Parts: sequence; structure tokens; C-alpha cells
Amino acid sequence: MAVTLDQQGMHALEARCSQDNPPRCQVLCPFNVDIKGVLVQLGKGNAREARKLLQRVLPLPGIMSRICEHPCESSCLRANLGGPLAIGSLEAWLVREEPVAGAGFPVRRKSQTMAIMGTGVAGLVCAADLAGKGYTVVCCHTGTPESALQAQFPKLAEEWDDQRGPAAEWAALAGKVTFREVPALDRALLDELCASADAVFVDASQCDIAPAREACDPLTLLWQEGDSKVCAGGWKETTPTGHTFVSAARSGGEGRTAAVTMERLATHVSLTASRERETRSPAMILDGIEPSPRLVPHEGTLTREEVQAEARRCLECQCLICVKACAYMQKYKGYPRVFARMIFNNLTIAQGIRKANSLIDSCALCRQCEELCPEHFSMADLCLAAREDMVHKGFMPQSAFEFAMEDMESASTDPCLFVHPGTQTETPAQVFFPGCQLTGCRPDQVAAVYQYLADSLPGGTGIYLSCCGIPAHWAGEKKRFEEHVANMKEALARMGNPRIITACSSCLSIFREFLPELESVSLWEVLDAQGTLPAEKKEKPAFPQTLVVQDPCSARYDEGWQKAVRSLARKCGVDVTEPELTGRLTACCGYGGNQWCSDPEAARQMARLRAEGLGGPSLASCIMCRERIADQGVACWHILDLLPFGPASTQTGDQDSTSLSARRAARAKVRRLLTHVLAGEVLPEPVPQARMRYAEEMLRKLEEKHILQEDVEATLAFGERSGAFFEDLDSGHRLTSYRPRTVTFWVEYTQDEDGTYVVHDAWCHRMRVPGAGGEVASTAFAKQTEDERGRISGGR
Amino acid sequence: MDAREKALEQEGAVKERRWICGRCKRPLEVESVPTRYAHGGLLIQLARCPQCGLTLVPKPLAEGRMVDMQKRMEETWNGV
Ligand code: SF4
Ligand code: SF4
Ligand code: SF4
Ligand SMILES: [Zn+2]
Repeated sequence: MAVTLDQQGMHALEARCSQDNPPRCQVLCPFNVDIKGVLVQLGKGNAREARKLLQRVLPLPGIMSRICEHPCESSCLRANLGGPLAIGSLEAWLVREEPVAGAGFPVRRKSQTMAIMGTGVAGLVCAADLAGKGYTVVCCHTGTPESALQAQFPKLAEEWDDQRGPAAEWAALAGKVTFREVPALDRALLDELCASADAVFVDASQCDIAPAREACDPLTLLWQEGDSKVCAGGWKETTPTGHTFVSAARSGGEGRTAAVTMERLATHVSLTASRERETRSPAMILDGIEPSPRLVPHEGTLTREEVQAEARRCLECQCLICVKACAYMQKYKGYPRVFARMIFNNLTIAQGIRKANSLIDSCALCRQCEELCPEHFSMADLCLAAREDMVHKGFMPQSAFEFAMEDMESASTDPCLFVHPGTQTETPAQVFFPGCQLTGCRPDQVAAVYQYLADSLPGGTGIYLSCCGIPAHWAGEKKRFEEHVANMKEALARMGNPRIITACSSCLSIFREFLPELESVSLWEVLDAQGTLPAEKKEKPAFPQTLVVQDPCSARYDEGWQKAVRSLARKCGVDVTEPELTGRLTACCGYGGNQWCSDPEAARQMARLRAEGLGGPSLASCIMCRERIADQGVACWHILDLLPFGPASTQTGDQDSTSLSARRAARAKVRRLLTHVLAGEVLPEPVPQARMRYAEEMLRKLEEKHILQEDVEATLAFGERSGAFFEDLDSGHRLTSYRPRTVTFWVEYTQDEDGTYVVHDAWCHRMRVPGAGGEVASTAFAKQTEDERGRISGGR
Repeated sequence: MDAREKALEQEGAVKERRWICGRCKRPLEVESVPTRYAHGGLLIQLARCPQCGLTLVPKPLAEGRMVDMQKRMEETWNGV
């Protein structure tokens, strides 16, 4: 979906989402009655509100509600689920039983005069509309004023004096328009009215001189020949058997259309601008909706209970297809159409509060909405464009993606980065790029897979341990991402541009989109194509017979990936079942788009919704899916946990996720392992700065706060070295802080008799506080701040 | 001082814990401290060693109002 961040582009986006569009019933209503709104109020037992809604648009309610053929019912989505809503009967009941609340707004009288020829239903609606707008209206008729209407609808004559019925409506109308009896509705009269009035309506059911329907412009009903201020409407219909009649709905609608044209004629406004009515109704999924029978008509008036029950059958047609599947959109309480507006306002606001920052930064960019939406609305494209715009303009909150960017940085530099062509040649036929998260969570298996590929694929196999850069792409950091891609391109070129084999769907998506000149393929397809998998050296890991498959969101378009994963699982003896949303429609676990970092709560809700959708032990092919779904209490295996690689598997599906710190350590470990194998070099193991112990639950809490163990250790070391710590007189705990970069870390700790440090608590903040984190209080800080100011203003 | 800063002061004072400066062994005193974030600054009442200036940011403040203030400053930053 193309996104242009200007007013026009936003309008186009808003129009794409049909959530706010009128339901099918409303589209067919000639008066554009908000039928859904009326029914919702009736369903709540709130007849007064319902009546107000109706009064706003239905002309001559005491008459119209009795004669309208309710075309709305013919397209009601309830049709096959118990029958269409009895909209006609409910409206008639409402008008009869509920008085109009209040007197309505006083209208300013206008100087122009409108003439109506003929008082059939079209002429009367036209007259009522124009009088309601303050114009002087003269209605010319033959016979008594009401005779034409009564002749068209004999039923009305019988009910004339009913409660809030035709008589009352007529009296109200007679107070607003002038009736003028004429001998004939003929050419001479038309000429006279054209000379005296600002615009004229000809009711075709009453006037022989009326033009044919085809002689009028369908949008405006302006009579195309003759005088340019005459509209016509209210033509009689003919049945296949030759019988003629007047349709109240159609004629009334024409009266209204003509009234709009006449007002525009009189006020010299464009006759055609923005008159097309929206005809696209919101998409609705009817699966799972129980049928419920339509109201049975009977003698006498309906009871309130009957009315309420019938109104409650309304499906309240609206789309929300994408929202129902996305926890992020649910959290932000809206739908794409309103989100687009909020995001646009956020980007263009000059002064004031940027309220949509989190909305923009929290989307998982997973593209499920795009696939579910009948119009392919893509929140991902919208949010990504907005992020890039924010970064470009310098508005991106520092806090949004910082931890994700740090994780990317650490996975792509020493001591985790490792690029080696393998032992066979300097220019191998392929290179294994496992992906930094898989390396961080499954170090031994990754090393074993490399060994296997090196041994079994012809032409030599290199290894490339790094992040693919997708966190920077997701963060809207275009420049940083481009640099990262350029680095990878160079490293790959040095190996002679081998085919890239990757085990991560995000990496694969990056290679395919940004390095399309190189061949890239998933590890799963490579393994699946091998006739035999490595001899089972290890005992078979234990996993359930049946697993529900979780496709990663970044592989939603990658059928090769999806097929290979299922095929490999079957080869391992697993029965694979599909969740409701799978393949192209799969849901994100909350890792995508850096959501885990920018909005951990939304990310948890995404994981929970997905875990519920999977419903049981599952099989992931992205390690982040595995970790996050398992954290929700739904056992989840990674495809690599099923395959015979690495040491006897200790992996089980319900194992907790791996912490950020552990992932960093594991990446360095794989590098050490492979450096040893490939280069014969022994890299030193990291030595802990001090002996550390964490109080119970501490590690999990650190992970939630995205605090790394190495930061805790560095902070503690700093406090002990500098002596800058507090002491609690009661507990004897020490408290110190350290600011190694843009975050100040705090650690509360004690020391055991044997010298082990025990961490009791830790927290962090981004604000710079003089006197904390190693910053000197007062004077020195004031100077630093000035330097910083100078830098900022000097840099622009 | 508006209500927001008052609340900050209360959280900053850490009345419930008896921290002293580990270096100077002196009890802490509450002071107005000029903090900085994103492109703005804010005075916050914080407990501080009257001798060496070592300053304490307690957990409820760091994880509560400070986060709100950070967010607010990010939202009102208009790139000038
Ligand atoms: S179900 Fe309700 S909203 Fe939908 S078409 Fe029928 S009356 Fe209209
Ligand atoms: S999280 Fe995914 S489904 Fe939800 S709005 Fe973002 S891209 Fe669409
Ligand atoms: S699926 Fe979502 S974006 Fe598409 S029309 Fe429906 S509510 Fe709008
Ligand atoms: Zn001190």
C-alpha cells in the first residue's frame, strides 16, 4: 500500500477503510437514515434517542413511515439469518409511539422563493425539505391540497387521523408552506413560476408537462432542456403487467434530491460537488452468527418488548475485521481509518502534544491487517512511513526503540560478529546466516547445523553471525539500516557473493528485499531438500504427537518456508495441524516491528491473543515466536528442537524464554565455538567482574525492564570502585547508580561474607540527574548541560 | 509548584527508607535538582548528600512519574 504523508494521501488512506461506511440498509434508504443507529437505540430501549435520529433525516415522518416500501430491508445482512430486520414496522411504531423531542433548531428565513408543481409524495417531500431550510415555498395543486397524496396512497386516507399520523404531519407542513390551488398544472403555470420563483420542482406524477426521467440529469434531477432552474421527480412506475403506481421511497427520494439541487441553484453553489453517496458498505463476516427469526406481524400495535427484541437482531453492521484479530489495534481502541487521521495529525502538528507517538511506534508491522482487510489497508506501511518521517524530522522519542537498537548493535559487533568463508575455500558456494536471535537462544544447535551444512553441501559453506539489521528498519532508522545493509553487502562480496542460507524469516525478508541480487533461501528448504537428515546421534527429544503450526509473520508470503517447515515436522513424526489464522493470515507474537521494545504491554497482549488462537502445543519456525508464545503458557517448540542437531536436546516446549543477557552471551559462545573449529583459535571466555547472585525473581524482573545483567554488574562495580553509594541504616543495603550511555542504572545490593554480591533490586531511567549515575552534582553538571546545548544549537 | 511536582517531591523524598551517603555518612536532604531529558529540563525534588552532592532517584519515582515526564517531554518536543 503506497503511503503519501500529505493531506491528499491521508484522505485516500481514510477512504480505503470502510469501517465508518453506511451499512447496506442505509445505502438503500433514499433518505440516508442511520438505520443502524436507530436500531441500536431501540435495542437499548431508548426510543427517545431513536426518534431523534430518525427525525433528523426522515421527511414528513408521520406520512413517510406509513407508506415507504422500505427498500432498506431488501439488502439487510440478516436476510439469511432469520429474515431481514423489520425496519419498516419499527420505524412506523417509533413515529407513532414516540413524540418528537424538543422544538429543533430555529432556521434563518431565506429570501428566495421555491415553487412546487403538484403535491404528490415527491412534491411534498421537496416542499418540506425546502421549507425546513427557511425558504418561502409555494405548492401549486389542483383539487384539495391533500387529494393527490391520498389518491396515490389510499391507505393514508384511512389512517389520516391516527396518533401522530398524516393529519398531524399535514398540519405541521401547512404551517410552513403556502398551498395555492390552480386550475391546471400546465405549461402556462410553469412559465409563470419560472419567472417568479428562484427554482421550480415538477412532480411528474401530477403534471402531464413533466419531462421524462431520461431528460433529467440522474445526479441532480435538473431538467436538461428548457429553463435551467427546473427539476423534476416522482415519476410513476409501471409493473410488468402494465399497472402504474407511485413508489413512496423512490419518489420521496427524488423530491429530496431535487430540493438539494434547487437550494444550490438558488445559492449559486456547484450542483454536483460532493453529492455522490457512499455505496460501499463495510465488509462483514457472518460466520458464527446464530439465526434468529424475524418479528411476526400481528393485529394491533407492537409491544415495547417486541420492538426491542426485533431491534436487537440488528447485526450493527461494521467491519473491524482487522481489529478483531490484532491486539495492538484493540489496545489503542480504534480502527485504521481513525488511526490514519491520528497519525497524520501527529506528523503535522507544529505545537502541542504528539499524542500518537506510541500508536505509531507500537505496531508490530506484521501485515496481518493488510491480508485480512478486503481493501488491503496496511497499518504496517502507514506506521513505518510515519516512523521514518519522525526520525527524519528528529521527533522520534529516544526511548521508543533504544533497547532494540542496542541489541542489534551488540549482535553485529565484537564479540558476537563473526564472518568466515569456512575451511574449504575463500569463496564458498553458500554461507549460513542463522540470525542473531536463533543464535542467542539455540547456540549449540546453530553450531551443529553449521557443521552439518559444511560437511554435506558441495562447494564450501561460510558462516555469518550477525543481526540482519531489521530492528533499524523497523525503527524507521533508514540511514542506519542502509549502512548496515551496505556492510553486509561488502562482507558477502568478499566471500564471492555466496547463496545465503538463513534460519530466520526476518533475515530472509531483509535479504530478499534489500539484497535481491543475491540468492537467499531458508534453512528449512535446504534441509528438506536433503534426502536424509544427519544420523540421529542423540536421543530423540520428547514432543507431543500433534503440534499446531505457527507461521512467523515475516514468512507470511513465503510459501517455500511454510511448506518446508511442515514437511520437516512430518519427517520428525509430528502431525501438523493448522490454526484458524495461518499461512498468509498468520498473527504476530509481538516481536515484529520492535513492538516488544516500544510497547511491551501491547506485545504481551499480541502474544496472548496468538497463544489463545493456537490453543495448544505448537510448533514455531521463528525463535522469537517460540519464546514469546511459551511465555504465555502455551508449550511451543522450535522446528530446530525437533531436528537431530546439537547435543541431546534439553529443549522442551514450555521452557521459559531466554533473557536478553543470555542471548548476548550465547552469541559470543557460538562465535568462540566456530572460531575454534574454523580458525583453530581459542578465544578467551568472559570472566565475570565479581561473583554475583540475584535475589529471587530478579532476573525475570530485569528482563521485563530490559536491563542487562552486564549493566547491573557494571553499575555495581562502579559503585564499589568510586565509593559513590548510599547505605540503608535499617537493612544495610547499598544503593548505587551508573550511566554508561543514555540510561542511568540503579542497583541495590549487599555483599555476603564470602564476597558474593547479592542484587536485591534494580531500576533505570533516562533523565540525566546531576549527582547520580556518576555525574557530578551542581557546577560540573551545569557546564555539561551548556556544552550539550551548544552542541545541539551548533549542529543545526 | 504544581500538583505534579509536589507528587514528585513526595516520591523523591523516600521518607520510608533511611538512606545515608555511604561516603560522607551524612543523612540526605531534599533539594531541587535540575534534571534534563530530550531537549528539556525539569526541577525535581530529590534527596541528596549535603556534603558531596550524591543524589538519589528512588525506584517508585524512576518507574512512575519520571516515565510519564519523559513521555511528556518526548511528545511536546517539536524539533526546534
Ligand atoms: S443487520 Fe442492521 S445494520 Fe446490518 S443491514 Fe440489517 S438493519 Fe442494517
Ligand atoms: S500489529 Fe500487525 S495486524 Fe496489527 S496493525 Fe500492526 S501490522 Fe496490522
Ligand atoms: S479490515 Fe480494518 S482497515 Fe479494512 S475496512 Fe475493515 S476496519 Fe477498515
Ligand atoms: Zn556524600
